[in-house]
Amino acid sequence: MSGSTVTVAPHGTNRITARAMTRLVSAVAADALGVRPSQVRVDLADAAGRLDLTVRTPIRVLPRDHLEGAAPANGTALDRTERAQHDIRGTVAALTGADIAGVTVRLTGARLRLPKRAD
Amino acid sequence: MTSITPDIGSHGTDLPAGTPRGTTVINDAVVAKVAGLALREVTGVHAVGGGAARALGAIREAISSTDHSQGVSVTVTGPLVAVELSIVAEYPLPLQQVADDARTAIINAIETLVGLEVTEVNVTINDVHLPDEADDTGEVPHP
Repeated sequence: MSGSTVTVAPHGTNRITARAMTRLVSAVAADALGVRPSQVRVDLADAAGRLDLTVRTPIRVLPRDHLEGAAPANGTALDRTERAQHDIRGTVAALTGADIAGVTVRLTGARLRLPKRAD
Repeated sequence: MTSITPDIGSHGTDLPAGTPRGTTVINDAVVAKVAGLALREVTGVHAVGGGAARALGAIREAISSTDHSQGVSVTVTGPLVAVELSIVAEYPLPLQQVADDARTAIINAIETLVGLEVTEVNVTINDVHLPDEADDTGEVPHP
């Protein structure tokens, strides 16, 4: 299948299809940014044999009146995105064994959502 | 295709030692079924087969005749078996580990239960199942 990642194991090969890779990356990105996997668009590209990821996603933010002080405790949207970008790179590499050339995160919007009540 | 193993006659009185008293024929479908059943024990294998095979499988299951060899294709050449396997892995388990575990389970099952030697098991992970997603068979995901 085109776009799949193949690894040679002692008795055969492991192949991860583009579909499986896309879904896994969208789940990792969704976890990192607090959105649903279905809201994340993932593009896989080849970078000289390595895997290049482009993730298009909204980010979950708190409404202004819920902010305490100037910036939320876990950082600005840009800080969180940068952390998410590192998380995506690390987690996807760990889960798939793929050699990742780069991860591009594009924020396509912001989802206002109140934090879930812990009870 | 089938594999034929010469059955060595056991201490026959009127036969010289080592003369075969017939042949054991193991059909490919049996090898595929043994492999398919072995996968049920493997952690991280959510389903076996590609999209179309799983859709057909859901219908088969509804009329209570599960195809255990779904998603497993075997090629038997004499005493050697090559297996092609297509699975859906559970998120967030390492995919290489799931594939390796599936391979080990299949090799063990075929070599111990069928007695044929496995040359290779090529595993394709065709999809990843996300736990918070509704199951595509329509059943409620397990907590």
